[in-house]
Amino acid sequence: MAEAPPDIDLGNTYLYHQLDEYPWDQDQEFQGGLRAILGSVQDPAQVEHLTLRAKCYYFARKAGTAVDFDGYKQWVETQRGNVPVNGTSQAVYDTLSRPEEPITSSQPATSDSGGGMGGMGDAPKPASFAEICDMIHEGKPIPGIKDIPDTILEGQASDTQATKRKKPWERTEEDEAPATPTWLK
Amino acid sequence: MLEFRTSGFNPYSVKYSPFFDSRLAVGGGANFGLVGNGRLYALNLTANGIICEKFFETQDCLFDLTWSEQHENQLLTAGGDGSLKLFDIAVGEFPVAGWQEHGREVFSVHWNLVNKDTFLSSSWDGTVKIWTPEKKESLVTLPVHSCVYSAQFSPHHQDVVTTVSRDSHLRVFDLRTKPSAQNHMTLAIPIHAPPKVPMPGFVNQSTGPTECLTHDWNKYRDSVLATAGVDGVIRTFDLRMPSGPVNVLPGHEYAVRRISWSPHLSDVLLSASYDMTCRVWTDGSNVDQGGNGNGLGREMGRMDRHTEFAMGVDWCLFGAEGWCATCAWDERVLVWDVRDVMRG
Repeated sequence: MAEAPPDIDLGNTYLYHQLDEYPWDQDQEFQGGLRAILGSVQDPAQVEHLTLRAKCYYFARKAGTAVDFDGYKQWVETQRGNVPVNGTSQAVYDTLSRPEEPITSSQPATSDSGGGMGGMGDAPKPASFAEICDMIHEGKPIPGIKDIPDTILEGQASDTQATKRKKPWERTEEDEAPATPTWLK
Repeated sequence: MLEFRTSGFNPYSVKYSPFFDSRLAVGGGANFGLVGNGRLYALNLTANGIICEKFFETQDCLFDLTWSEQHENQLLTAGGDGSLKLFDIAVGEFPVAGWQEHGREVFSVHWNLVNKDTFLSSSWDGTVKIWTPEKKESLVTLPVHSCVYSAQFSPHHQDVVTTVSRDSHLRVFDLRTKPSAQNHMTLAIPIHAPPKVPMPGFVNQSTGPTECLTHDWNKYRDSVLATAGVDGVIRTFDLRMPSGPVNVLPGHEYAVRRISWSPHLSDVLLSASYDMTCRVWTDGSNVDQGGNGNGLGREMGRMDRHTEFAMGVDWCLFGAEGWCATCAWDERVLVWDVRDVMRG
């Protein structure tokens, strides 16, 4: 599934340059947030991924403009001359590979481990489904994608108060099973 | 019938709480899960309709979810970005735990109904992983070597896991066995095989392997499962006779995306299909209804109110035996009583 990389449009390139040149090291607010996000993450690739994502999120919020994370990541890798063999970054590849499958493959595969988008086969898809597939294939930006931070509220879980209930098939004769839903009473 | 709209998001899965008959969760994604954010809704059923108690936003689509069996506020999601997240509906805007080991989309998650302290995930990366909420790393990885659309713990044995996958096989893993060359696998059944016993009136139209998208354990017969997938046919299997299906239920015009056996009746199951219908079936095993344990199954009724692919279906565990919830790409969750659509 080697796809040519989508053309990088000039407006985005300008934005990516701005992002790149922003004095991240001197922005204490950003650095504080980044430390919280990275936590104990050790893997350099993961650190880089999360840092890029955080930059996009932060910059988008500050500048009040949408930043296409996949596009920016691809741009960063291109700048570094670090483009994978098939000419597109893994992030873009992953995004593309999900819709790619159901359109081209209605025949079941037998031994691969690739995904099939839930085997839609020849079932008629919603009209807008095709539009979105086209936009992805043409490399057009998909509107409305938010960057959600990878925050984990470690150790903040609520306390459990409800008692475990038996499943209907685990009940014995003595267990009472009320017929009316509680929400209808 | 009650309705809730998931405006802007296409649901992939709906599940009833194992603690409350009035609590539901729905997961899905924007743009049909192709690209964009995911969303998890915790819903409450009230006499005045369905109320959204809380929702969480995620970076990528949520393909499946499962309620915690040990904590009434917690539920686990299967992410398109390969992540698992544990959300607590009483806490904040972010998950209280997360796991990232799968290399591709996680397509199903399931909590252990017996020991209640492990859960599993299955992925397009061709593996199933077993986890516990307390540990950062998975306990076990089961290689399937084919995109695993659905994996489950048996509701009868805490160490038995089943999978169905793109390669048209139902596999059984027993975690009590030694992790030898078989990696705990004890059975691999070809789903497309002809029925073991020829059935009167049934013509095997199977053209060969079919991507299997969903399966479910019967809750009352501990060796019986049902599978369904791209060929639109629901099949039941008895692990005591594993060479082929026991019963075959054709009827759906397109792929079946989800099936669920009734928690109340041993012969009844529900299906959701890309033909937009949700149907209720008997596998013909109910002696009281003229079956003799392996009779002919049939469709007993259908709900045809969804207007796009029906993706999710689940039964309410408590109270009267007909309540269920369905969700579809028409951005709707419907709660209804199966008995209203059943023919006499």
